[in-house]
Formats: sequence, C-alpha cells, structure tokens
Amino acid sequence: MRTTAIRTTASKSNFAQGLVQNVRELSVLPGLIIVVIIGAIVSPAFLTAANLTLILRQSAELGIVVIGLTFILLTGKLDISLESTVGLAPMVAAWLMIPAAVGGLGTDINPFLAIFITLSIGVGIGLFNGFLVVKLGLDPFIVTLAMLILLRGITLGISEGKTLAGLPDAFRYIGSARWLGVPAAIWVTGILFLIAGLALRYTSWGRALYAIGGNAEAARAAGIRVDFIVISAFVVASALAAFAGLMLAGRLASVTSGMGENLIFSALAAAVIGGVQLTGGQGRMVGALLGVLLLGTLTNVLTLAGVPTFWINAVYGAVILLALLVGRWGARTRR
Amino acid sequence: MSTTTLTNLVPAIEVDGVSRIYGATKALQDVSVSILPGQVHGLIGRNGAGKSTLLRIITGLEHPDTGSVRFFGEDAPPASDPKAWQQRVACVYQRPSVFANLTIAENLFAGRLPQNGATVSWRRMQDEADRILDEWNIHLDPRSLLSDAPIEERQMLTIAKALSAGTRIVLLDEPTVQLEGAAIRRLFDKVQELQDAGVTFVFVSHFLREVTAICDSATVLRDGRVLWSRRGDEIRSDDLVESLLAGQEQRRHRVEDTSASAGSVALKVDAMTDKTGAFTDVSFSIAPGELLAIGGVGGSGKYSVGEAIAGLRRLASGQVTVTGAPIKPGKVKASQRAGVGFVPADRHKDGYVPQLSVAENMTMAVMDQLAPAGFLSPRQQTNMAQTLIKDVALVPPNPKLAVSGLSGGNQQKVVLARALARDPRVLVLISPTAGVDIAAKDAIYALILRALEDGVAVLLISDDIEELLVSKRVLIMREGGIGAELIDPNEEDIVRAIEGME
Repeated sequence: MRTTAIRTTASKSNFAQGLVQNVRELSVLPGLIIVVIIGAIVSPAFLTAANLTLILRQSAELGIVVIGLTFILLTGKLDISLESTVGLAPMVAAWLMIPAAVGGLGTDINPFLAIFITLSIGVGIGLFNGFLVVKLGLDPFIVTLAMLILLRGITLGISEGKTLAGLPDAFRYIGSARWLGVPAAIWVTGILFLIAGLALRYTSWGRALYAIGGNAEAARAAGIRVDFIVISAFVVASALAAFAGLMLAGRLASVTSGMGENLIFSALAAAVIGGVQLTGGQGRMVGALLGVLLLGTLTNVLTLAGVPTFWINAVYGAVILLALLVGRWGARTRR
Repeated sequence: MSTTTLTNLVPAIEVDGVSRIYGATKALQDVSVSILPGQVHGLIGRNGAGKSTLLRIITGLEHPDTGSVRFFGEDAPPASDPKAWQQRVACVYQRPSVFANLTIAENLFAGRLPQNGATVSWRRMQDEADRILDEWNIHLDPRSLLSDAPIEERQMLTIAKALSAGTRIVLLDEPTVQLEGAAIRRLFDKVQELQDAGVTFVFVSHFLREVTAICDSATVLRDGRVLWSRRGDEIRSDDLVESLLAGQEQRRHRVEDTSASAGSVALKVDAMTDKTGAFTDVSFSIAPGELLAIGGVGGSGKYSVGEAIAGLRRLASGQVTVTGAPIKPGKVKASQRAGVGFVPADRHKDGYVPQLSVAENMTMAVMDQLAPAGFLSPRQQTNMAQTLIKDVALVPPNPKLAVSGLSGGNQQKVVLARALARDPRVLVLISPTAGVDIAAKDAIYALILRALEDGVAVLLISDDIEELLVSKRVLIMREGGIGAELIDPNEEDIVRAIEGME
C-alpha cells in the first residue's frame, strides 16, 4: 500500500514534485492575494508605489528577526527574547554615545564602534541563551522568557524610560538611507533573506539545522556537532535581532525603551503561517518571507480600511488564526 | 506444587484458537493456552515468537482477529471497555508504568482516588496506602514521591495496586531485567505467597533459570504458534534451551572463511570501561576482513560497547585503536575520521531523520568531505547518493524521497549506506536486521559480506541468535563484561552461554 503510493509520486515529473514540495509555503499565497485585493478595494492609496514601499520598509525589522527565529525553530528550539535584544542592543550603543545632558553616558565613541557594540551585544546574548539551552539543558521557552523580561528591564533601567535621540548619522544610516530610490533597509532585508534561503539549502550548516530538528539523536550519531550548531543558531539569530534594532533606531531616528516590544509574537506568527514547524526540522525561508509580507500587508490594510485603532489587534489576531486554519486545512487535503 | 488439586477448576485464563495478523506478518496463529487459578505460568519464546502480542491480547490492548479469551469461564469484556479489562488483568512491565511525579499513595489509587464528595480525601488515601504497604512489607512512606522508591519496590507497588483493586490475574513481563539477585528473590517469594492465596501469574522471561525456578506450568511459542505447553516436572531446562532453538527452517548466512590477514589488526579495544558503568574492562580485537559478533541479554552492555566505539559514549578508561591509531573517545567525528562506520540499534531513534531525503540521510556523515568549506553542491550530493543507492539496492531508487516513506528494510539500508559512505575500515553494526523482512535481511547480509571481502573489519552486535550465528567468533557479554568467547558455536552453545548455563 505504502510502496505503491511512493512509486506514483516518484514517477511524476520533476515539475510536479517541485510543486508538491512548495505547496506548504505557497498556501500563504492565497491569503496574501486576498489581503491585497481587499486593500485595493478598500483604499485607492493601497496600490501606490509609495504605500507598497512603506509596507516593505515597515516589515523590514520583523523580517530580519524572522530570519533568525526560523534558524532556531528549525532546530526545534525557541527564542522569544529576540524582541528584547532588538531593544537592548541599540539602546546600549546609543546610551554610550549620547551626551550626558540628554540621558546618555557621553563617552563620545565613534559611531562605527557603536554599531560594532550593537552587534556584539547580540552575539553575546545569543551565546548566553544558547549555552543555557544546550549545555545546561534548560527549556528554551522558560530560559528565553526570563531573558525577554531581564533584557527589557535592563533597557528600561539604562534609559530610565527616556527616548534617546540625536543619534549620529552613521549610526542611523542603514535605517534611513535610500539606495536607487528604495530604502536601504528593504535592500538589506531582501539580500539577507536570499542569503539565509541559500544558506539553508546549500551549506552544511543549513542542512544540519534540519537534521537536528528532525532527529537530534540521529544527527549526533551521524557526526554532526549538534551542540555547536544549535548554539550558533542562537548567536546568528540574536545578532540579526540586534541588527534589526539598529535599523529600527535609524528609521525612528531615536532609541526608545519599548523598541521591539511584542515583535516576537508577529515573528512567530509569520514563521508558522509560512510553514515553519515549531517542532523543528520543517520549513523554508520562502515561506517565512511570505508570512512576513502577509502580516505587513495586513497591518497596512487594516489601517487604510479605517478599522478603529482599538480594534486593530483583535482583527489582526483573528486573521492570523484564520491563516493558520487555512494552512492546516491545506495540509490535510493534500494527504 | 499445588497444581494437581486445581485441575478440575475452571481456568483463570483461557485463550482459545487466537490468531492475530499484521499485514503480511502472522503474529499469532491458532494459539490456545489454558492457565488454572493459582498457577505461575511461564511464557517463553524468542524475539518475534509472539509473546508480546499474546500479552497484549490477554490485557485487552489488542484484540484477536479470530478466537476468544475467557477469564474464569466468562467471556472477555468488549474491546470498548478498557476499565473492565483492567479489573480482570494487571500487567507489570520491566519498566513499571507508573507516575514517578506523584506520591506512592496516589500511584496506588490512581484512577480510583478516595473522595469526600467532590474532593480527594488525602487522609483516607494515606491510611489505606499505609495498610497496603504494611501488608506487603514495603517500608516506604506513602506521602513520598514514587521517583524516590527503588525500581523493585515500584514493581511490588504495581502488583499491590492491581490486587488491592480486586484483580486476580497478574502478568509479569520480564520483571527481573532491571533487578539484582536479592530483589529478584524477594519478588519471587511474594509471587509464591500470593500464588498460595489463589492469585494467577503469567511470567515472561528470557532467563530460563527463573522459569524453572518459579513456574509450575509453561508455554513455549515459536513463530506465532504454540510449540508445547507443559506442567510441573515436565518443564526441564534442557527442553527449554532446545525450544528456543530456531528449528529447521533457519536460513544460514554463515561467513565461512574470513581471510584474516595474520597479525594485522583493524580494530583493537583495550580495557575499555564506560563512564556510566554500562560495561567494564572490555577487550577484544578484530582483523581486517574479519567478522566478530557480540551477544548477551538486554542490559548486558553489548550495545553500549558498539556505541562507545562509534564515539557516542564517554570512557572512564581504556583505549580504542583503529588500524593502529588510537582514537579520541567520546567524539563521533573522531571515530568517523579514523574509519568507523556505525549502524545504531534503533533506527527510528537515532538512525535517520524521517522528513529529510534519502540523499541527505545517506550523506549526513560525510558532510565535511562533501562540503569542505561549508558550501554544499546538491548535485554532488545526489550523485553520491545515487552510487550508494545502487550499492545497497534501495527500493525505490529515488534520492529525493523522504526516508519516512520507505519500508522498514529500506530505511535500514539508508542507515547502512550512511555507515558505508565514508569507506570505513571498521563497521560497527547493532542489530542491523531487526524488524526487516527476509528479502531486506538477505540484502543486508550480502552487503556485510561484500564489506568483509573488501577487508573491512565488522563488529556485529545483536539480540538475535540467528544473527550471531552468522559469525564464526562470538563474544557473549554478561553484566557489562565479556562472559564467554565461542568459536564456531551452534545455537545451543549460544543460548547456553547467554543464559549462563554452560
């Protein structure tokens, strides 16, 4: 019974096979198209170049966090503290740079050094999380929940709740510059998605993430350095989150103590809607990207449609739930 | 024993013409067993003989395709009523299935907690538990967590729980595997005491000595059929040994002459001792092109030895040497680079990644060669997999297929291909043909033979006596050490050595 089913799949053309492989990711597409159509009906402003650019620009930080989160989810782990890293990393750098008069430390460091510090903080947090989860065997949800609260608390403590503005141009560059008329952040996010997608497919590191998420014991027996790879996924994800924080600071031209708050929920939703499994081992960057685009477009459409501000979250949540149900229904019918 | 006076009673358990078929496997064929009240009935047979299926049918976890089960003359409860089954039959497994996170009292009353209206009456439960523990001479506080109790007491508790709930039939499924001598004797004393009180036991064990010591009737299963069923003095250990032998239909894959080049050693294990104590002071060596098999009961440490050579276990002391070079213990990569290929015991647990493709699984251990700078060429990977697929004759020969979609035998071929991908000098195979069909078995043995011809040293560790017979030289492990070395053994030699009945 089983074998006949396999034979029929095997004899299908490569194209059909490719399509079947892509279905899980593509199940986001109808949802995205529907949201776009609704957007076009609701507001003539929706399908303008300026608005579409705005959607992409506003999704950039979410997208970068989703890239990192996807790496971690593929190994079967979780890091919800990424959103606090988005806030803390640029906050520390800004705090060091800003004059004491406006709430900083006034060390007057070089903005490039500040960028380096931002990313290093990401790397450090990732190492710490990875160590706790992998070497001490602690539950990733609880560890990173504690870290989420701790890091957010440090951010608040350093800034004393103030918004740090007056950032040097170099520090703000990546979040505010335009390349060929399009915000640099969009280019960078797109390129990062491309690199991440290729890395998952064409590097032994990427394939190891899938192997570990699929069966960590088998991966170990096959000689994959499971601990090292999982920790590296945490490090890469946190470094990306820190970079997203840098971009966000550039966009807002300031650093606030609430930067990145609640971002992790959208990130998780985007990854899962895009077909990344929380249990590990399954999912692709294409899907995660489509998930990000769906959520970004949705937020935009809800605003344009004039949904009352206080109701936006309820509608947003309902649509995420609907997208998950559609995805699950799609998975069922294919069986 | 008291059995003769009971012959005129209605059987406590009567299994009548039961058959159970899974797909192409006939697990049980027309099995009839009758067990009188107050007996301890031994159930014996090799792996795959149908013991577990029969136990599952008697406990109501599975239902026969044909035939029937009766308890004390009454038809067994319907399949839809697990509670009724539990009232009639209780089963004690080698790992007692209990709630380690709850108190001993709660375990004793799980599913029937004494209540005061809507709330649990802790006082009544603890008083009752105290009484039961006293009666059983178990010196434990019912308020303490079960996880703090030794495994032997947990098994006693399972029996106590069953009997306090009114069950008169207890199945013991290899209850002694995790116990040491004194604990086994205490368990047996209790069993005999209860037997005198009229409780009926079914006792499954691989240890024939235990069967002769405690059982007053026994049934031997072979290939899903009853070979014989006897009472009292008719059960002799020699017959039991013989009954475990496979009979005529066995297929021999004996490796005849393993052109071992004199003097040279491919794998040398020197006074190897496991860090967690799974084995101690194990030494042996294998020449290129030589096959060595290791057998032993579960818990003898035989699998751990293989895992240690593959780098999956840390050593307290000792040394593993491959083709003259000592390898760093506890590092899989080091073992692989030294030339060790490994097929783990449980392919589902640590053999393959189900949702990944055949190609990915096969090349998983050679990633460092396939992608030296970390960048992988899927085409190269597929090409390598194509070669391996041809080598192991995988069906269907599609490198892109997810391994989860393959049959058991072909999944095992994928795991074997992974071990062969590095061109190993030493192959460590743990139960390589467990749970695969005859055709796949033949194919896997053919691959092992070819590896031997190529001068690979093969270490074959197995539970299956037939599989051990493939090898000319067989080591038998007992309690973490090498208990016997057999040259050119027959089945009986192996069974005797494993049972410690030389």
